[in-house]
Order: sequence, then C-alpha cells, then structure tokens
Amino acid sequence: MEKMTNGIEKLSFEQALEKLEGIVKELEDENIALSESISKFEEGVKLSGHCLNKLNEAEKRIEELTRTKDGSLIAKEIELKD
Amino acid sequence: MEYFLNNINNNSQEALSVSELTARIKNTLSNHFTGLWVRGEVSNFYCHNKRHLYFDLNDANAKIRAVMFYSDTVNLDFKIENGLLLNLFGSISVYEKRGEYQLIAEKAQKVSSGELLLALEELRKKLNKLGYFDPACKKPVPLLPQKIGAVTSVGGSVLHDIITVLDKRFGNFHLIVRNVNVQGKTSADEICEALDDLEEFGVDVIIIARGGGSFEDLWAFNTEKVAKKVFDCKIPVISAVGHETDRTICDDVADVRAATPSVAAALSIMNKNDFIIKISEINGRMYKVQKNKINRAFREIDYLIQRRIFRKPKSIILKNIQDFEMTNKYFLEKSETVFKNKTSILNHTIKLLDRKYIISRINNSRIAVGNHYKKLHPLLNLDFANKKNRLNMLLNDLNSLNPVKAVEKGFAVLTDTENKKYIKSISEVNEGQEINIFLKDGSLLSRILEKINKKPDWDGKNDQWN
Repeated sequence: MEKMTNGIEKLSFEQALEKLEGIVKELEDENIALSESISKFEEGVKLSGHCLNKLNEAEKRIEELTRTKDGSLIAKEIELKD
Repeated sequence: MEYFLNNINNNSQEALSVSELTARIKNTLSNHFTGLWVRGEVSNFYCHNKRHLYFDLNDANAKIRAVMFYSDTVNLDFKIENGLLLNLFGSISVYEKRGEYQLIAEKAQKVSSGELLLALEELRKKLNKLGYFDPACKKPVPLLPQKIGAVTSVGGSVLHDIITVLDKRFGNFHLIVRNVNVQGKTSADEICEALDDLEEFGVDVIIIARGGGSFEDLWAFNTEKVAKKVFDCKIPVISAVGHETDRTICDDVADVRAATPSVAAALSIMNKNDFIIKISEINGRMYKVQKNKINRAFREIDYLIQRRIFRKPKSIILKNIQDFEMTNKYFLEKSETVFKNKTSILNHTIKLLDRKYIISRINNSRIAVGNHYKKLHPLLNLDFANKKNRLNMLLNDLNSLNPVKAVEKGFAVLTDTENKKYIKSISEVNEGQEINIFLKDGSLLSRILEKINKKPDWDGKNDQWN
C-alpha cells in the first residue's frame, strides 16, 4: 500500500486520470474478485484525490520569456494593463 | 552543363589555374542562366552611393545575391525594401574576385496579391504533398498543461483575450508569453525563433495567435519557414491567426486550428469545473459499482447461509465422516490382501535367490540323477548278458558246421587231383577220372568206375549222421 501511494503521488494529471478510468472499467467487470476490487477501489479513491490536488497545486502566473545577453532563457512575471 | 563536364580535366599535370576555372564557370553560368525570371523575398537590402542596389533574394530554403545597377533602377516605379516579395528578371554572372555568383537584375516587379495567392496555393500544394496537413501527424493537446506557451504580441489585445479566457476556465494557470512582431519583414523569423525558445524552455502546449488583418499583414503566417517550424515543433501547437474567415498555412499545419485567440485559449486547457465534474462522475461510477459488488456479495452470503450445511451442519458432517470411514476401511482391507500376496511372492523370490537353497536344489538334482542311473544300470547289464549268450550259441552252431569236424567223425571229402577242387556232384567228374578221397587219417587216390545217377537214400540213417 505504501508503494502504491508513492507511485500515485508521482503521476501526472493525465496519467492519474487515465489510471482512474482504467480502474473504474476493471471494477465494472463482473468477473473481478471482491477482494481484488476492494484494493482497486482504494487505489481509485487515492487517484481521484490526486487528480483534484493536481488541479489546485499550481499558482496563477503570467510570464514573458526573453533571452538574456549571455544567451540563456528567462521567464519574468509581467503585469498587464487592462 | 555538358560544356562544363566535357571540358573538365582529371589530370594533375593539366591543373587549371583558379582564374581559368572561374572563367569557365562564369562562361557556363552566363551561357545557361540568362534572361530569366525568379521570385523571392528581399533581405539585406543596401543602396550603394544612392545608385546601385544590392540585396539577397530568398525563399524558405535558398538565397541568391542580387544586384540592380543604376541604369536599370531608373525604370523602377516602386522602392525595393526588405521583406518585399519580388519577381526579378536578369541573368547570372560571376564576380571573379570574390568567387561569387549573383543575379544581375534588369527588371523588378512587386508580386501582386493575385500572384501572392497563386504562390500561396502552390506552397499549399507542396506542403500537402510533404504531409504537413496530414491528420495523422497532429499531436494531441494535453488535458492539463502545467505551462501554456503563447507566441503573440505582448502589447496587443490578443494576449488580453487569451488571459481573460484562461482566467475564466482555470484560475491557477501558468502562461509563458514569447513576444513577437506579428506582421512586417521580420515577423516570420521572429515566430520561428519564438517557437524554438518555447521548445527549449519547455511548455506543454503553444498558442500562436494574431488578430485580424489584411492578406499582406498575415503574410508571415503563410510562409514556408513558419509552416516548417510549426510542423517540426515537438510541442502541440494551437494556431489562431486572423479572423475566422482567414485561414493561414500556419493554422492548417498546427495540431489544432482555433477560429480566434479566445478559442485557442479555451482549447489549450479544459475548464477546471469540467475537470472536477468529470472526476466526480468517475468517482460516482466507482462508488456505485463497488457498492453493487458488496451488496451482491452480501446477497451471496445470505443465500449460502440458507443452505443445509449451515442449517444442519451436524448431520452432514456425520454423514461425511461415515462415508470417509467406510472408504477408509475398504481401502485398508483391500491393501492388506494385496500386501500379503506381494509378500509371499517376494519371499519366494528371496528364497530362490538364497545360495544355500540353490546348492541344496543342485544336490537334490544330483541325487535324483544318481537314482535314475541306479535304476538304469541293471537293465543295461541284463541286455549285455543276453547278447553274450546268443553269441556263444551262434559260435557253437558255427563249430558244428566245420567240415574238418565232419571228416574227423568219419565223413570223406572228395577233390580232383589237379585243382584240389571239392567235388559236390557227380556231374563234376567223369568215369575213369582219378580223384582224391580225404579221410581223417589220410587220402585215397581212386578211380571212378561208374557214375550212378541216383540220389542215395539217407532216410532211416539220420541219427548216424548227427
């Protein structure tokens, strides 16, 4: 269980969502054993939580990308006038 | 070309001087490339002494140096400048001192919109052949981009529109803007550079956006270089150039075409609420299906509890124990018999293999043979004695037949005198012939007086002759 949780934390939003959809499909299969379905269900609950976290984890940022004199790229916050 | 190829030498002894080679090149080029029209975009424009015009003529993949001398510039009815698309008429010449070839332009025409449209159509055909518009080459746009890139003018209303839409859809977005001139001579190059920069910096999706404008204003988005850059870009590109009615090559090569910059922004990221609804839906499905599963499991348990094993477990268990014991007993008995049989066979075999037993068997056999022999022996002896008696009898018989014995008993033997031949019949002698008569004590030389042809009568005197 520990491992599974760690794995989920590292997933991108798309990966987590895809996995979640896969789990629901598996659960909808009549043939899955109850014991297996319980662990799948637990994983699904964690994945959906992870997806929701991903939606909120970023902060709003608007930056402009420019190249400095030494040739490296930097992104600077820009304030836009309405 | 043939001229050039036929006159090439491959012998070091006959090496050409650089001047000679250059003269030949000049000759070849000016002979073959004279009085032609060529189309391209002007760059590196330079006017020498306000008289001769020097510039490069370009397309996406090639460039050629061009010069227009003062004598020809006087006929121009427009000003040549960078970024202009021109049709030039002239010939190729070689400038020997610098080893360069260039187009000596005599006439220049601005390419009209009609011609631009035609050129655009040709470019579209060419790119189509290269697969630039192939739906199979379109990359999918990620659902939740961590960083959204935008290639547009920072000052314009386009960026404002994009941000407004992003704000509505997903409050905590991260936008990286790469400022470019969206029209003018340098625009196409700037767009290409911006795409490179965003790719290098790393974003998840790129919006290329520009507001409406004239056909010429949008020209940068119809260039082959921008098309190629967008096509080669590894990050999904959403293009929104001009109004909905404008359709640039950039729009068509991009992975997604958006009618306006606002739409592009909307396509770059899903509405956060939609995400939340989607996840909730999935959760709902998951809970429902799991709940059903658990309920079904309970129903199955209820059903099982109704079965006899749970209601009258003792009787079933007892019956099973009985069955088991019977089976067990049967197997025990069966296996005992089998075991006994096998054991006796085994013991017998072991006995057969025992050395003492074998020796005693041999001795027994030997005794048996001896007994047989003993029984046989008297039979053999008996037979021998019989044979011996019989032989003696035969020998006696034989003795009694010996003529010498007969003579000794008083019989006579007659022979002739010459051949000493026994005379057994009267036919063997003649009357008056001399014969010998042998008796037991001597012989009588005798003469035959008469042959009496009559058998003597031995009857009644047999005993005398025995």
